Amino acid sequence: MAWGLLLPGLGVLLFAYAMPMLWVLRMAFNRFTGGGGIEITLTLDSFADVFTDPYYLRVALTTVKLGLLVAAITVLVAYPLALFLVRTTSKWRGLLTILAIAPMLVSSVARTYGWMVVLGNQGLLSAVLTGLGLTDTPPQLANQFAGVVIALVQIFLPYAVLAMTSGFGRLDATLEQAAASLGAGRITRFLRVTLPLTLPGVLTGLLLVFVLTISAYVTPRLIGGGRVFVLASEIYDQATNQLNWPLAAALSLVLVIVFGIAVTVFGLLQRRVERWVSGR
Amino acid sequence: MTISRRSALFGGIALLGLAACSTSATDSSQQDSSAGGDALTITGFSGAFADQFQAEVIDPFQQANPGTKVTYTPATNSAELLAGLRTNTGKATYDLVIMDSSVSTTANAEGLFEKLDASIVTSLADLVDAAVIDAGFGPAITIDSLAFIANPAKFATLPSKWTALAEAQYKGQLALQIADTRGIALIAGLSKELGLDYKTSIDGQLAELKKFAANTQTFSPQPNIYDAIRSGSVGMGVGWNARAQALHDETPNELIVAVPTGLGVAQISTINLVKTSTRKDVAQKFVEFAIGAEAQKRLSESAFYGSVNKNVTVAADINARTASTTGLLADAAPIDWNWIAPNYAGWVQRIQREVIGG
Repeated sequence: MAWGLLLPGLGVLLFAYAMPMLWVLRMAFNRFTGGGGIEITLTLDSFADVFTDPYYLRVALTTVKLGLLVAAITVLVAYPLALFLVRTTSKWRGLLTILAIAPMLVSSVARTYGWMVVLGNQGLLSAVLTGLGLTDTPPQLANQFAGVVIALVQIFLPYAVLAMTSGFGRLDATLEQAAASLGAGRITRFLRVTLPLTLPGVLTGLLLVFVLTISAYVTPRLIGGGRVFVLASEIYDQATNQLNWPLAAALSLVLVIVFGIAVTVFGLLQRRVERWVSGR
Repeated sequence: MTISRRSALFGGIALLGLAACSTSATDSSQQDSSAGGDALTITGFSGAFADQFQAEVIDPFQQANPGTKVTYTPATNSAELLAGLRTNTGKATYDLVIMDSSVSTTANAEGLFEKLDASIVTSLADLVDAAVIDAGFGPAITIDSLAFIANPAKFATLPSKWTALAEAQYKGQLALQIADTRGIALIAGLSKELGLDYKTSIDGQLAELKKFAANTQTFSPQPNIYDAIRSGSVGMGVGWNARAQALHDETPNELIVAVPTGLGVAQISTINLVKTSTRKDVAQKFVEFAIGAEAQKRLSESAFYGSVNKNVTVAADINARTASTTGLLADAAPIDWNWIAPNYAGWVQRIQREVIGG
């Protein structure tokens, strides 16, 4: 019966993930013949392009850098928020939680366009800074890497809050009270009790935001001004503009490999943290 | 939590029922489409083109042929259309496909399209030279040109040469969406202006594009180049003449357009007969109507496309605003889209790496 429960999910995965991925895998071994032409064969040409061309290495590094930066900033911003939501005994806790994750109800495309309005050279931020007389030349954030980071942090913040609140299950107020009764100050309590107990949740939040960021297409595309090259946008360009499907497929597989490495590294870290927290 | 056998059985039956309904619905739609008759399905560009094509070609065709129902399905771009053709090589989803000529030559070579029957499409004999892309295969349906577009509040006059985009006055005001067909067309325009031959090398043209890049605020204007300019978030860019002319008429104070004299670059979209179409006769009848003088005149007058039919004459003021060989494309920069097709990806890649990423 237990296996039977898995069948619907496995069926969906097979049709919606495994089969398309197998098609992508097969496509990566075909040869691009120029002008959108594809020769059905078995060649490593596209993989050779991906792994020997410094341009694709640069794109992959930009993607990972963006992922790490957005994940780190998002978790830093989300941490106090998630901690407050877990600890609070207010009757408004439910409402506050809903407010924290409410931005998820709005499409990320709409939120990205919102950021374009805010960060644009005639945008809200520019108007405020020049209106207050702080600068005559407001910083150019739209159409730049910095703008992409800012927008992605806001867009993925609710995901981090959700992941962290559900990962803070080990946090037990009595442990902090015990530490206080033994003379530990606020900083010591945080560093020796709260932080270790919440680290698994932090790692979950980091992993989730990292994975969402490196696969993000819309925000880097819209706010990056065509200058921020990430794997997702490169795959789109190769597939729909240059019509080089084998290369797009090979790049897609590289993205999957980056996912795999990230999940493995975070999994190892998670296990190490668990062992450290439980004192084993 | 446990699930009873009865619940599981009921769930299974429900799923089977849904599957059966879905199969039955699919069969039914297939029957409808395979019934043939005078139903015709066309796919092509979305947005303003789809609206104009519906109003100026499809609706009049249906009025002239009351028994024929034409359905137009917009697609994102030519690559998406090519993808659809490649993955549906069995039963045809569409009878006719409108796409960029640089992509249709690939589809012709792959055997996805079929040559037209000149005894049905008699207007093939009336095509202007530029409208014949791949002899016998789908001809041009529209001819357009690369153009300067600007917000008149920021730049009251438009340059007379492509190289002007390197001037200091445009610093931070340019929107150049050039990692696509527009970039390729700009290379052709620069080739003529600089006296270079793009078939030999594009190094010189890319060097010029790099100068433009220093002035560029965005290489990916949102939601598109025309609205980015109309909103004033950028002041100047390059786009397609036909759409810009139509938008200028809507909002003359927000957008102006001009093709530099003698430096226009033709961009051609073709209408193609899908090889697996089961309604080839009615499809070719539609092509005949679409490239005929009547429909082409309407497309020129209302949408500012250059006519593909040499028998079309439009008023002088309209002709001066369309990409015709006697209008904006007079003495135009030569561009050989058939030659470019196999080089397209390489050029776009160089633009992306050396100009945008550089």
